[in-house]
Amino acid sequence: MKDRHTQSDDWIGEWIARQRDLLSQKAAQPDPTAEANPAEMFRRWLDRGRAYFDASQRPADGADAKAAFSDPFDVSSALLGAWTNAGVFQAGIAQQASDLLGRLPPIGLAREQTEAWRELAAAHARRQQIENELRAVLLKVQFDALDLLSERIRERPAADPIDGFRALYDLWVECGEQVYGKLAHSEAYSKLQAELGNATMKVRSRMQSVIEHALKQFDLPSRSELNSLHRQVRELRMQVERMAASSNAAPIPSRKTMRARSKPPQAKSARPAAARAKARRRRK
Amino acid sequence: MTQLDLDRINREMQEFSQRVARGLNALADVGNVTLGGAPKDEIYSQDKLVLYRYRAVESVAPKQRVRVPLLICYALVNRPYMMDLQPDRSLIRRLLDRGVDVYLIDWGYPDGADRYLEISDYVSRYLPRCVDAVCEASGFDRVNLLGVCQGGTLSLCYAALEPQRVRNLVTMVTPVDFRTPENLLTKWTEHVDLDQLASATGNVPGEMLNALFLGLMPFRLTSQKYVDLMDHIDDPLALENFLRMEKWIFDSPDQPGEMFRQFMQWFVKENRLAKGELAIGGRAVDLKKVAMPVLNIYASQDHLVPPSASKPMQRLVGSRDYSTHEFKGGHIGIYVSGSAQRDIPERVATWLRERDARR
Repeated sequence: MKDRHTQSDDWIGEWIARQRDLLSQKAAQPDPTAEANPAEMFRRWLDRGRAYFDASQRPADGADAKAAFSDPFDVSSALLGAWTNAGVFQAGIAQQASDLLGRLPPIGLAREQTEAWRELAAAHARRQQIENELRAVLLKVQFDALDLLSERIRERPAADPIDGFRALYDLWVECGEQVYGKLAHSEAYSKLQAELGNATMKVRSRMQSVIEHALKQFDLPSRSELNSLHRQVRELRMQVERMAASSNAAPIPSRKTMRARSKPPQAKSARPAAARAKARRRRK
Repeated sequence: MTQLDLDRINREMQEFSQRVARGLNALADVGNVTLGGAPKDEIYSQDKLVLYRYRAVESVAPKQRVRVPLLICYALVNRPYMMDLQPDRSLIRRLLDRGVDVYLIDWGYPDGADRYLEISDYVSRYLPRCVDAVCEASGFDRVNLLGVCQGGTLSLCYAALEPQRVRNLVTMVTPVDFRTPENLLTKWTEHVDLDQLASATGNVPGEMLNALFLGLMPFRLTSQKYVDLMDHIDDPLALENFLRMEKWIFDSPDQPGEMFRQFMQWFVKENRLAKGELAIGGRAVDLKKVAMPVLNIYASQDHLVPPSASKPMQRLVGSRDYSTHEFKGGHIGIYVSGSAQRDIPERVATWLRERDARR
């Protein structure tokens, strides 16, 4: 019979293993932005076709046929996977075509718009690439947190076992923060995170150019025009304030100030500035 | 997994699920939480800014009052109602109870029209006018200034530029040296293209900053905090307190683009304030001119403004009457925790009262 500590380790160990599996699955998910390998795609289709061919060649052999189509769901999921991958394959072709177009200089009547769209596409691709890098780094944090969690549990005295899921969760959070904290302070992470921010801002500004061009076609106001107005209003206000200051006039008070001025001071116990100045003069 | 363990885990998960179900009902019943509530009057406004004066507590004996008014300059990053979150978590109420005449600047929610506001607008236009308004309302020619977080940094700059208007300066969780090793936000800013950021966003969205702050401690702030909530789900008061904090944390105004760019570039990246290289509106900000009494309060567990960012104030300012206080807690706890309610207002009021008597 296992002792209490061993039993505790059993379920904790299984939970950690399960978390690792989930993270591995997440890490193994196909990246839709990645370029597919066409040779791998054809090999999968060939394998599927061969299995069908083999099965049809041995109709009497039920076992083999069953092996070929042992799980109809598995076949469909494999097909679905193939389609998914085909989608990736198409995306890969589209990416290649886009890369090719991207290298050609835009010409003709729509030159400016083409260039704006091309820059947007390039900015988006760059952003996606950095986001994937960051995602991988953060996934590693989670793996490392589980490693640290295992280590901490191993080092725990037998007299102090983890006695519930909540305690395990809290320890996992602690390990996660410890691993992440170390990474977060690193130069590499700071740089990667900043690069993602910069790339995102680039996408945003490229998108703004494209949208502003469209707005112009309909004679609609754009953010650039509003900015220009805000800047002019600000400059005018500054000029007015400078003029008021140079003519020794008091700055234009707001409505509330006028109201405040009309009120008597409320701090009765305080000695007003005028009274104190008078007292100072008297002392002199 | 042994049957015994499986049973235990199942039981725990079942209890937790039940708790979550009860919690959802409880959350649905809470409705909207109320914030603040200490009686106050608007005495001045300009653009998005509103200046409030809190009504004095009549029962405080005249001898116990701090005569010189206290102007609180909060940060632009979050809303100032954190200073008066609810009746039993209100630094402002506790200060009023101790006879302090309290004024508060609410910077409001900047919009597109404010994207070109600069640091000089805050330090050399808005803040001086609020000081003027406080002086007019109180009858004094100087104020006690209490700056909080970024508002403390702005207050320091103002005190250096206009020392004759500040009687005493109190700073809370205020960064001065932004380049200390513990300052994670500074590290993250290092490679950010601030020009592009301000140009692409206009005003920097509050949501973006919130995401950044959550990223400082992601496991705790995006997961554990909500799991912990389930421990108090049967307590309506605790639930309301939690929701108030959630409201405050995520009620983040956008930051005026140019102001944000200047602040991050000059203060955070280039550390100009600590280096003595800062100029605002063409005027040099010399911290040695901060010669009035200074009380600097920082939090030992502050993950946003680490003590190392705040403590150098002592050697940088010119004050001979410099006091410091370390609060055992974090950046948020210093406003709302029970110990903060007992400790901070009493310390501030006593410190001000002692200097109130001096000429």
